Amino acid sequence: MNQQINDIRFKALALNFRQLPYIGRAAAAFEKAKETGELATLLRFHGDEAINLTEELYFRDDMDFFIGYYAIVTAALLTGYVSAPAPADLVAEGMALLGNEHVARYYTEYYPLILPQVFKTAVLSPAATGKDLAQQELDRQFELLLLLLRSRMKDEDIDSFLFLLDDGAFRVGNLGWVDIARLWDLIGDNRELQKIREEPVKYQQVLSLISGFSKFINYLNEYAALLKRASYNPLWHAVAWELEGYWFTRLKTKSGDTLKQGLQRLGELVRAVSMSGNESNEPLEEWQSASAGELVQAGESLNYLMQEEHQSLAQQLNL
Amino acid sequence: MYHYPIEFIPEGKNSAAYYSADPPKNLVVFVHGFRGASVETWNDFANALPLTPGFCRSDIIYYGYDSMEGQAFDQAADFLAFLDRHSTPRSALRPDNPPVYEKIIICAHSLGSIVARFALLESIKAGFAWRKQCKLVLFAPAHNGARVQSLLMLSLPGFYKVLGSLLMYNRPVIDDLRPGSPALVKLESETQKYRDTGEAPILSAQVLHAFGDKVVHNAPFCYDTFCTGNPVRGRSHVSICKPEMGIYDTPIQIIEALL
Repeated sequence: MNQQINDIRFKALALNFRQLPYIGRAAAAFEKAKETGELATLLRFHGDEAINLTEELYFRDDMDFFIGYYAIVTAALLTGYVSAPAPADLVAEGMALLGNEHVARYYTEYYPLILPQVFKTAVLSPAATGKDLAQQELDRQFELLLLLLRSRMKDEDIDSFLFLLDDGAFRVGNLGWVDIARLWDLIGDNRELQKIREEPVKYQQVLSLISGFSKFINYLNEYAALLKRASYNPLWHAVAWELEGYWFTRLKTKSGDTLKQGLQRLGELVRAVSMSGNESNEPLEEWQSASAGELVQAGESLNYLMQEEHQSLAQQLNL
Repeated sequence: MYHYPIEFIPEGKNSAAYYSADPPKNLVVFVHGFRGASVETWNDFANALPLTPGFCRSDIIYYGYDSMEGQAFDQAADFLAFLDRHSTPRSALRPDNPPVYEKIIICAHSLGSIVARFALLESIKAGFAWRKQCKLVLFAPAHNGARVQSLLMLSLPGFYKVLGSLLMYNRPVIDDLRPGSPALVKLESETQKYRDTGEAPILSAQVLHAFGDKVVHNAPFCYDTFCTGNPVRGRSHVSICKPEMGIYDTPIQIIEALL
């Protein structure tokens, strides 16, 4: 690869994903936690001792993004978007972070992620040679993948919804505790939706969750479409899947079925909606038909992302 | 390489830029519509433009915003601030940024057309010098109003259409989109005010309509001109702004002709 392009791409990755306030915060907190000896406690497995303190949650969230940056860099290396040698400061920081024993236990034993595990190999591998047309197309798709990832990372509605999907709950005024099951009840009932629609300020949290659900499904649709476009390159495909490996694995083990329940409730609602008064039925019928199509596609996207063969990056890398 | 890798910029929501590798002469800004997305609304533009020689000296920015929040005029105020900041080239990846652009082409879809035009009207009042570089290209503009029921039920992209139509009726921006709304009346009267003045070229948009658009009202607006003689057949309110390489290149050709 042209060295100038390579350098610019590393710089763009850092600009877009490393030079973010919460990453800087994580880097500083990581150094401090090492000094005070608190790192093992802060990065403990939640099954051993629950994570309840807000400060601990924020620290772990920020660390997830910090580790996530190096997962993105690893993905960029493995897919040929960038080639070694990487900038010296990136290599040094990545090695220090991912090589730390408590961080390593976090992403190998507690919450396994493959990409951070292969950072060292990827960043020290010999540079790829040549840039054929197929690689150029994959590079463009990689940039669209980065755009997609970035949109999900910064979205508060999706964050709230994923908290619910991960067995969380919010307390919402007269609705009480809203967990994922309660959300499906609300979504499946047009009278409840009408109440929410008429008092958006009062039900702001619920609207955020519903919006997060819509956005997340849209996100999964776009991610699945992107993976399908790259299916002719198994390594690229596997790396791209692995970038969201945590959530896609959970789709398979649990949340995929939960999401399908939500889609089913929504389908029932769509079929049940009818117009009132003198309004024309044509837009309604067209909407019902289009919505039915969207629901089918959403189900197909979920099934595609949940397929066993996606979890093959470890095999491809002989791990 | 005509353009640098994607660079996310902080203004708006998920705004992204492809800055020219060579010193740029032009800026092309894309503004999506209701419930659109900064890049995804524009489909193959993101794939095609970096490969199109005609755009090699153009910085390309996809401006994103939360179209569900606030009123159209509120969004216009944010967009104006964005335009003012980015009216001078400022890529963090490019070592040398020239002081000015020769041309600023603002391409907007649907609600984005209202946002963009309000922003330019305010730029005239504020006396921003860069406004004289601006040209408007509007795809299925909503400046004559929208069939709100159709807007919510049919034009929302992807999965948003399923729930969006059931939940969005009370958003202030929906009121702005109704034909004859105070916002649209103001938009037209303010634009007409500059008809025979030196500001008219800034506000005179080139417009592309979809034949039989089910969402917005196709009709002349002030002193806008139509890019093609007739509305485009075979495209919808949503797809009119989405080029497909080798199949529907009209949007790209229209913008390229202005550079």
